[in-house]
Amino acid sequence: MLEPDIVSELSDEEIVIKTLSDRSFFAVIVYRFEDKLGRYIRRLGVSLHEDKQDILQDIFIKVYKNLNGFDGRLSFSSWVYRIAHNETISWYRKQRVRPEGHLIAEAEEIFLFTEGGLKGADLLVDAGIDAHLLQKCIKDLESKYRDPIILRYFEHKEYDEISDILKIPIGTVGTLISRGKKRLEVKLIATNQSVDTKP
Amino acid sequence: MNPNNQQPNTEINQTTSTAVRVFEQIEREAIKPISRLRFMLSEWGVWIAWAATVVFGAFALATLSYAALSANYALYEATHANFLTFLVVVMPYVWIVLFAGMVYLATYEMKNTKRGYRYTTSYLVGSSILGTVLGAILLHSFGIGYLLDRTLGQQLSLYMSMEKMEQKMWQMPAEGRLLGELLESKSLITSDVPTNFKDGGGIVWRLNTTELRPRDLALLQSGERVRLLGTTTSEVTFHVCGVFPWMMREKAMSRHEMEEQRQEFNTVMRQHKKLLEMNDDSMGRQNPHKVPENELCSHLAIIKRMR
Repeated sequence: MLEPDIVSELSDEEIVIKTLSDRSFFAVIVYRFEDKLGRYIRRLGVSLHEDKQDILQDIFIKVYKNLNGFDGRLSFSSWVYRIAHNETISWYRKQRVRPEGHLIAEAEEIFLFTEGGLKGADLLVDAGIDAHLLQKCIKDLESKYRDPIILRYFEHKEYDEISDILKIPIGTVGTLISRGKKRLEVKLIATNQSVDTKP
Repeated sequence: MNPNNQQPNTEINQTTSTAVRVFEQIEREAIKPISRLRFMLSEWGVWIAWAATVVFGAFALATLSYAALSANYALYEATHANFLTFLVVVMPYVWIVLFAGMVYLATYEMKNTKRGYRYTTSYLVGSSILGTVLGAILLHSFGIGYLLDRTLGQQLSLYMSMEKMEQKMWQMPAEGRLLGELLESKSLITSDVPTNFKDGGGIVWRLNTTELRPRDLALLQSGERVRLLGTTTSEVTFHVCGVFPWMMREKAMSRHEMEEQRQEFNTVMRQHKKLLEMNDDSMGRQNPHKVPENELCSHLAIIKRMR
């Protein structure tokens, strides 16, 4: 094993090469991605801690098994996120449950998304749309729109990274995000109005 | 342990609970990374399948283009009521479906390569079609389309090759169409003497060639396989009104040949039609049962269709 200082300077891709000759380096990969992937899984709707841990374990085992299949032309992070996405979807299928949408983002993140991501943000703020309502509406979006929105605005991924994670063309990423946001705005206004009119 | 408080330079020494569980499972199940060769083989497999699909699609397209180009558009009135019904019959549906299927499969396979997802559907479909078309042009230039169509026609009774279709369309004495070649020695043939002609079914016909133009007669005398347009006058005699070459060969008919044949066909038909119009003008509507033998051609169904 190398000195800690040297290890921290190594890129993910270099760590992968080292892991193939020395398994213990895989701990660095787990360490670097555990929190990020944990958050991502939670955003995809896995709420129970035990479930999240099980999925994380499955993800890292899959990453380890497939290290030789990692395409160096992709970023390692995108590749790991792709595995995480697929494993989470596959976990839902195995469990025969639907995503619960427990917590897509913290209130602060939701605020930033509203400011930067939605066209009519001021209107929404004026209308008193809160984080809870926004979470509910994002959760209700079709997964083909929800997934790129989550990756773009809450995981802060670039379009090419989203393309690599979701395995869709870059142009389609832009289209889905744009359509998803429009649908979200419509949903937000409609839901907010129905909340307001309730006695 | 809170990972947010950890410094990056200490990450190698961190063992989170997840890492412990992951390493335990790796140990317990003796998990090893799948070999690089397996991934390479899998990727190559997809590309080989794509290439094979494109090649197969190219064969389908080469045969499709051969069939579509060699259909005898020049003489469609001789066999069908109109161009549409002719087109419906001669279209090579099997190859159209196969070609479309191969393009779909090639697109699917290309999409499943490592980087295939990055391309738009139109790019994937376009490149699969391009590969297939280039392959088909190459195969077509070597006459593979003809060879495949003919071989399949010979080997599979259910497969309707263009050759079989043309034979079927022209071996119909009752409809006034015959396909075959002369039995007599070339020197004996004149327009006055009935001639023996063996059709595709092996039946020998006595041909009456009194209404043939010298050019048609020459073509008949060449001894080559020809198509005859006319009418039966008894169970073994056939009154010939037009002679056309048999065009089923390796290379599909060129546009020039097609135009030439069309022109010939029109000339023959116009000639017979003129005779009919002259007779109509001078004698009024004729009784079809009393048509003189030297005017039979002007009463062919095709002449009436082309009026």
